[in-house]
Amino acid sequence: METSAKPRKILLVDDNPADLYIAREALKASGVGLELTALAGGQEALRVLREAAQKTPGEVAMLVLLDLNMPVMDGEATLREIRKDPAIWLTPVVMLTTSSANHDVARCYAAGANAYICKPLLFNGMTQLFTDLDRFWSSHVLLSKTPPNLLPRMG
Amino acid sequence: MSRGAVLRAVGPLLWVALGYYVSGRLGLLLALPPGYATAVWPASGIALAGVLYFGNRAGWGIWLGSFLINVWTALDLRGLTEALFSVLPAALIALGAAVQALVGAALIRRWVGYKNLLTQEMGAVYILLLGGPAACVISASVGVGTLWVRGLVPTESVWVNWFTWWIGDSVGVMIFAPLVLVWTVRPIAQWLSRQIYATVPLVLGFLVVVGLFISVSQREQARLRAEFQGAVGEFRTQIQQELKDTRDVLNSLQSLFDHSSEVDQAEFDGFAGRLLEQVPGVRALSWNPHGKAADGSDTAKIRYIVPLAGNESALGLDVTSDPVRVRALRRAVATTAPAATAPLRLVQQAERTDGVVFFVPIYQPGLPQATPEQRAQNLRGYVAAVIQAGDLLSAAYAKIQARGIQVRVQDLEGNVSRPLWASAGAGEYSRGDLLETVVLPVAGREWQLQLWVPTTYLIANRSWQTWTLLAAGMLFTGLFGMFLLVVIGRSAVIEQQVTERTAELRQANSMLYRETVRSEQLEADARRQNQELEASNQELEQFAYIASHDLQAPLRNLSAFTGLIEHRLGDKLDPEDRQHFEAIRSGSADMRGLIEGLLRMSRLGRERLQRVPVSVKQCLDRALAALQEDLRATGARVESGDLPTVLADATLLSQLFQNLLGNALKFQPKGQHPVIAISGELHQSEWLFSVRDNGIGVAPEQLSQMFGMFKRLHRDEEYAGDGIGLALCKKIVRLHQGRIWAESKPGEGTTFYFTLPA
Repeated sequence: METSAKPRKILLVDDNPADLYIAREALKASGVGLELTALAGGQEALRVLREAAQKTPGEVAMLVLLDLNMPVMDGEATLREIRKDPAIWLTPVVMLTTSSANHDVARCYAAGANAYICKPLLFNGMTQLFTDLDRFWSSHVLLSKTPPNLLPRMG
Repeated sequence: MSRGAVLRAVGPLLWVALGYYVSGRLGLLLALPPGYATAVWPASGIALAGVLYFGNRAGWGIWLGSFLINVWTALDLRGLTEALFSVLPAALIALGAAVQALVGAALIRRWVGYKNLLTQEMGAVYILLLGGPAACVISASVGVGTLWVRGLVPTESVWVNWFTWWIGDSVGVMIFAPLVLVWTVRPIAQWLSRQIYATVPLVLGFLVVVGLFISVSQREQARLRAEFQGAVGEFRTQIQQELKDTRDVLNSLQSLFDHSSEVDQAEFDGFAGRLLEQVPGVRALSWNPHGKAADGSDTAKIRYIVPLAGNESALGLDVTSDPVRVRALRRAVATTAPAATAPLRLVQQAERTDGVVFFVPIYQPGLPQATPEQRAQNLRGYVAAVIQAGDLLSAAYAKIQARGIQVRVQDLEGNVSRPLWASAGAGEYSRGDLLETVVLPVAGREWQLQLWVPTTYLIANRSWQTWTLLAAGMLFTGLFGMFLLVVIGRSAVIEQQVTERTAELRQANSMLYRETVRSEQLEADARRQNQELEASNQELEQFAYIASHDLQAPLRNLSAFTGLIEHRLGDKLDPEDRQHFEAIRSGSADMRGLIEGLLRMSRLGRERLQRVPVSVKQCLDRALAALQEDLRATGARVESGDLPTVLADATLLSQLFQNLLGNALKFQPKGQHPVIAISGELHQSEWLFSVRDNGIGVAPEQLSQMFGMFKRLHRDEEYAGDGIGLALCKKIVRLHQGRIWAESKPGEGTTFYFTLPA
């Protein structure tokens, strides 16, 4: 078995409760069968990821949608922590943030982001996003199960 | 006044007097004999140094020293008047010497300052020229003037005397003043080496020239004397030759009578006539037969005389009647040799010159003449030759006359007070004249020949070679000394300068150090301020970035929630509410546009300009590609000429074109196809680009406003826009050190110009 089951869970990390709310509603409205866990900060996200990894080692359980600008631990730092931890480092991370600035995009990819998406302005855009994510990650993407020590270091 | 005070006051004066006197006497040794012409008068240098060192009172000492020297050479003690008249010039000359030193010293004090001799480059030159040639005019003028007035210097040689005097004094100053000053004026005790450097060559040079002078001078004197002796010998030989000729003539006549007991008139005339032709110095030859007078005394009457013409009065004259002649006759008989008379006045001659008659006794042939008695017994008569002493001597003198020689000849036994002959203008010889006295035996008498060359002649006709040598040598020594002093002074000046410069340099160094420290502080301040400025700029941009970023979240929420509500209500919404929701969405979209514009602006300032050579054409193409859809939708036509390659940020330049083209596409009358022309050309030192459209144009008063941030000239209903585009353009051009402006007429389109540095 070389590839894992596709993650059916989405871990949304954003400090803005309104955004979390809109996201939840949009996911609901999209009708995509994804399980959404919303978290307010990077540290919570790491904890949840590590717990999940302990329960089912080797499984890629979640797709992380990570906001960039957050208090305490921001998106980039959270991303780097994920990529440093062998237990969770294969977790796919999609940056979902307001900034479209080139340098923000660049630094996120440098830190090991799998994708970078600007938050849609409209509600419809948000529902469309979840639809697209589900299709993309479930139908097209292959995720590696290779032990981390054989892979080139990132970041 | 105490004795010490008197000594202190008089001491220097006496020192100067002594110095002047001694150096003067020594200087006289260097005078060219005869006379006192000297090429160096050390005393004048001593005098100048004395005045400079002791002050003006030294003038008295100079006067005293000079007076003593001049009195020594000229004092005449034959009487009170003579004494007075010999002292007066000495006093005047001494006054001249003293005034000269005082004036020289005053000039030096006034213009240079005598302490500069060893410390100032040109000091020595000025000192020596002022004290020497300049001041020495005085003593020469006073001295020669005095001598001229007294008649001791003939008028024609006044200038020569003045010149030698002036040269002597000047050279004396140039050599001896520095010698004395170098050793008496010592501003710094450690200057021994300089003093020696200045002194030794001067003294050596002086001694060498003096030695040379003495040697040449002696040779010159010897040459003069030898020449004179030569002339004397020539003169004497000439006289002796004449006398010998006379004797030969008499011997010939004697042998005529010896061989013939009776000589008749014709025989005598013929023979004597031939002899006279050969010896022109002899004036007359006569035959005086011995006879007895009535009283029994001897007679010797002139029977024949040749030539007869002019001598007729002498015929029959009894030569024994004259005691002068008788003495010669007696001597002739006594010695049997020719005997000359003392100078006598000839009977037949009107000339005032003296004549001399030579008698030779003639005896009866064949009779014994061994004893005086036999000779008296057998005496037949006398042949006589008459010579003119004047003729003889002046002929001899003619050969030596040119050399300035004076001659006086006198018969020692004759009248002493009246010379036999003397050269024209020959008075008595005087002391110092080159003199030679020769006693010449003349047929039993003695003539004393006195020959001399008068000093005045020697002085007037002296060879200037020796003097010139001395003067040139001394002048050279003086100038060399001057040069040495200049060199020494120069080295002193340089030393001084080096010292000063070193001090200045040290000071400048410390100042520089302080300045450096200060400027480093200033630089650090500037750097810090710069950093602060940069930091605050960054903060500001960060602020703008964050602010606009943070503005987006609520805005997004606004539109998202509006969308959510719309979604929830679904079909429950009536068309009017749907329109209201649409208005909220569109407002949010506009605001998002504004915020993105702000973000772009702040990013422009934040991101570093990447200036590389870029093709403007490529940038334009990129902009056209980005606007592809709009271009197609409006059916626009874009023309561009040749575009250069410039140093610019390619991304920003593309953005600039995109904004300008977007503008041109947007502001068009309804239904018109936009026509846009783009050009770029070199204009003076920059590239001038233009983007011309056929759009609606802009009123002139609005041209300057439209580059402002959020400045919009139209309502949204007419032309939508965020008011950021042209502000961005302006910022991009400014970042490239260019300018941007627009020209337009409403209805006729707009042309945007911008420049980029070439």
